[in-house]
Amino acid sequence: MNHGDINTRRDGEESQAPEKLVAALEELPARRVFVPPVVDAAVLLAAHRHLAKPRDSVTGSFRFWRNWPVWTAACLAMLGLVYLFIRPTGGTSAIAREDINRDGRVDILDAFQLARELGSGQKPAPGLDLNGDGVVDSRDVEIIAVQAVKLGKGGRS
Amino acid sequence: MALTCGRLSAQPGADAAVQFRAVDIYVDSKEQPLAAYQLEFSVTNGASAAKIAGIEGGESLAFSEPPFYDPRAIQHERVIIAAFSTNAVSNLPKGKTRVATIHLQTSRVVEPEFELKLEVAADLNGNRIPAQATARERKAQ
Repeated sequence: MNHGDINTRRDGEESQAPEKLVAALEELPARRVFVPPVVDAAVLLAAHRHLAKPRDSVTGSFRFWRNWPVWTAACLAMLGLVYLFIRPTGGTSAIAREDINRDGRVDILDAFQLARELGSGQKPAPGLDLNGDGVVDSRDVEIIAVQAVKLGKGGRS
Repeated sequence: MALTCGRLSAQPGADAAVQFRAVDIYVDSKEQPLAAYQLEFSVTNGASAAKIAGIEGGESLAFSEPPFYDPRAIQHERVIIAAFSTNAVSNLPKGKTRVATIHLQTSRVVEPEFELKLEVAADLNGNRIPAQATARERKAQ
């Protein structure tokens, strides 16, 4: 038997929907949400304004370049974050100030090199004033030597 | 980097539960004058076998002062020692020379075993030179 559209209710037919659903649907008009006319008007006004704006690509491009300081700052912030994640974390991979001979590690040869430079009368780089007393001397050599023999935190001692 | 391992033998006649031993550290720079060295000494079977009690300098004038070391190594089983000398080449040792002595506090129960790693040796110009480090227990006279 063909009943045509199943959503069409015919006279005399009982509803096939569950009773709970029917009850809920019948109750729906009683629960109307009140929307103040002011809100309706505001939404309408905002929609009109939005739709009235031209949407050509030239304007979009102009908007992007008008905000270039923001984009630049965002890019720099991203680069900074990337650097924080990939930067070397100490040890021998970073060139330390004490690594005088630039061989990637601080050892007694660095202290020895600075001692030789001081002994031969060469003027060492001001950056080698490791204790910050204003002069590069044997005390700075000692600081490097102490650094060279320092036991690592992860060591057994 | 050279690596040397060794084992100390118990001194006869020592009855105390704890005893002290001296281990002489040598660096052999062959024909080259030795101006700087850095090495790591460690007791490989734990601090219960031996603990470092003190460190003194070597036999030659160039290395007679105690080497640089981390004071935290005392009473532990691992130390890095290093020294250099800016003396004239004629005052630098050649061949096998005692560069330091490490004093150990040892247990009579466990025989200490140790490892010696020469990290670097250099001549007067700071150039790395091939060398070998060895350790030998000093016998009582």
